[in-house]
Amino acid sequence: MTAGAHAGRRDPVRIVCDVLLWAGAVLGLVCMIGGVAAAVFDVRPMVVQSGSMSPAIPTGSLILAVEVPADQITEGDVVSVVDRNGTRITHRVTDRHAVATEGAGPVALTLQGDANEVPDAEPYVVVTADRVFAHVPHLGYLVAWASGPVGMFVLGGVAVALILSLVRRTPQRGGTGSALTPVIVAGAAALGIGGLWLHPSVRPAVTQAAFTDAPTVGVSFIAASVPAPVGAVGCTNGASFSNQITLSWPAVAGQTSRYQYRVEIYQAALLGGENTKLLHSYVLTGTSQVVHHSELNRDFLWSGTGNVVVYGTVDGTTWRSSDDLRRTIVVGLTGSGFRCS
Amino acid sequence: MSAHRAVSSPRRRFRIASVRLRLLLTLGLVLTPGVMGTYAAWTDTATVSGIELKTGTLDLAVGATAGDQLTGQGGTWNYTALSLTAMLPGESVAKPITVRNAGTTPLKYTAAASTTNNTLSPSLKLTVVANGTVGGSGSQATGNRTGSCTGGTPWVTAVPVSTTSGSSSFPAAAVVLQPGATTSICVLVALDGTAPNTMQNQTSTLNLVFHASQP
Repeated sequence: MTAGAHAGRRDPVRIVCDVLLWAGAVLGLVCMIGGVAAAVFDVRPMVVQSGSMSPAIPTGSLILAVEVPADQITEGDVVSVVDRNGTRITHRVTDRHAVATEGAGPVALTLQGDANEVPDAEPYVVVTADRVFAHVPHLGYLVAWASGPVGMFVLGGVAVALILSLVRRTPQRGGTGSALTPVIVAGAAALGIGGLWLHPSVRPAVTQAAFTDAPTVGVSFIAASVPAPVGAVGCTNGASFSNQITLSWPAVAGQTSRYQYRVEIYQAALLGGENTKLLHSYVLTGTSQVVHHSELNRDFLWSGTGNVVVYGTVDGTTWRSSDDLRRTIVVGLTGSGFRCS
Repeated sequence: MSAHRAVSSPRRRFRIASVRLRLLLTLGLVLTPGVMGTYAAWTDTATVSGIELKTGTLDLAVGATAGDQLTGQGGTWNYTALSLTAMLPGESVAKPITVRNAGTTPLKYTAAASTTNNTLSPSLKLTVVANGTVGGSGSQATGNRTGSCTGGTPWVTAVPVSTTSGSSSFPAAAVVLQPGATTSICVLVALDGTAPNTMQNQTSTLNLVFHASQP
């Protein structure tokens, strides 16, 4: 007897059982306190199914969140919201805009997973959101497993065994260990399976890569610019009594067939300054233009200096070159006084 | 011997009580994950029961005709064939973009267009047609390059693009692509015929972002 009792005390199996039971008791107490606290403070546990928030929150984490009003959410918070498809998304707030102008109205949140290169396509308009305040890596796997059929079966079996041990009458003398042994073995087996589950090599592929992907196609568009002729406007007097002159300018190379020259002849302002009165204008693709005195829309009895402006345009548009070529001509009262200056 | 029994007996009673208390507390450890699991929300993907999760990769690739560009996460592909320089008002360009699911899980995507600046973009008009037939005519020399997207399903037609237009996406209903599947879209960009003189020599880079996520 004594020898048996002494032997039982030193039995390594019993020591292990004792330690396991203590560990189970302490962890169980923590779990129960945590569960009550969670119920009191409305803490929402969630299991992270994807790595889009890794490395901060890896796949399989158990995260704890509490509901907070939208006005308490700031950029950088990790919040959990439900998108329009009913999918729960837990990502980080990268931008927030108040929808209502004042007060604690709804806000539009832009969320982005830490591992995602772009924000979620959909902005989330929320009045409240579940803000994540804690996460425990890997624990989500255990919770997921526990809520699955196998986990339910194993945990249920252990629970039944524990309850049976509790309601059982005091074990026979010296039999405490032997009565507990099946329970401990079952518990150890459950923990062992759970531990194996946590090991990446054994664990079923729970890591769903719920990443987003946002490839970008970049395309550049450059509008054309309209150049002006470079050089000087040439001018040739017509034959006597022809009442005309010929203006010419250098060609601009490499232009599309929509490129045109516009020639404008102004009445020079009396004291210099801006050209005001347009006497005549021409649009052409060639590089010379005959100007007849009779074409000019002169004021009655006006004669003096005419300003010639030549620049580039594009057919069918209002586009014109920013530069132009200029020269002056002499506009007489009659055609015989119409000369290059 | 008997002295030993006398000493051990209360200790043993205490021990049995201790064992029972610890058993009770251990019950909490066993039950809590189960209870928590039944009301824990699943985050990041559609709700599933138990642990029937899938493994896979989500990858949207694009390209001119084969969807051979931008495999893997994100990235930017400069589609030079769609780019146009020395654009005159009224000119346009149309090219195909093939969107391919290069991952192993189904995906859904929408597209959004925005520009890097707003200098030329006020006069740029974007048209996107799913399964449209790409056409083109004219030449730079004649200043009448013209692209066309015929047939197919228009997603957007001659909409302006700007630095902020990326917040609106198209089409209205996201396109679902099975792994390996492709869709071809015709993208047409035109410089408005009424583009003002101030648009001369301006440049804008248009970014078409394809947002892919799980359906």
